[in-house]
Amino acid sequence: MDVGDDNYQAVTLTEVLRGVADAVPQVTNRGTRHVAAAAAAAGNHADGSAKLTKASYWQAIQGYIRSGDVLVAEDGTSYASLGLQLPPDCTFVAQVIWGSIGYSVGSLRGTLTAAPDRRHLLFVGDGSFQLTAQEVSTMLRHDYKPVIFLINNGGYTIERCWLGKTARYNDVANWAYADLPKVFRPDTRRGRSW
Amino acid sequence: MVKTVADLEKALSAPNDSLIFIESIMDPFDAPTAVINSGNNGADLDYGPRGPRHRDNMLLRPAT
Repeated sequence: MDVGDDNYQAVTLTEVLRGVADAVPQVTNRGTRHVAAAAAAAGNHADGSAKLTKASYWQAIQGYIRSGDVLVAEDGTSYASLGLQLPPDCTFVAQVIWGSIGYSVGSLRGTLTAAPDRRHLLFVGDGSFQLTAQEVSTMLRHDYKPVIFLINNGGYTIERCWLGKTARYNDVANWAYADLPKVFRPDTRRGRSW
Repeated sequence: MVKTVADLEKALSAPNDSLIFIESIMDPFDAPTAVINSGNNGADLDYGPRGPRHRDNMLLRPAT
């Protein structure tokens, strides 16, 4: 393992993490960093007619989360959910380090199966959702009741931060997302869509 | 689909007695600064000092 110009041999990850934990000051008042800052920048939405922005979106989500929720966060701009302040007994599921887009929809199906008595929230963008959307069919078949928050912003916004701000390869087709519950399970009225 | 804050608040007030699917329409260039910075830093790491991102308007950057 290299740290600057120094090389350390036979170091375990446990030892590294212990060293990092000892070196970094403990944070006792972790707040809604991204969310609070974004909300402040969003201005006043008192009349509710303002166009939805990421700032106002995450501000509303912050107010929606309750104790005991399971939050599943997709890669990309859904990373912003890392800035939420979670009430007690919440569980946060993510896999930032692998950058494996689409994983979160299947992961939600897994958390629903593992803890059916808890409320489950999925935060996913359109680009990632299109890779694994069919898992919603399985959720409906099992009568699961997750809350799926899908951001439709026309493609891979996180990739636009990397390269190709306006490139077509960062766009995706615009699905009729809100119709999917009816598509996946037309024999029932299960599922509310907006 | 929801397009305004009021739309979203209405959707969030629905009873959770079934699967709830909320599609929110947003601008492709709207992202939290921290997320944009992480993408920009990733580009630096991936492409190096002579990478293609330095050309005009090649990547989304934080608002100044």
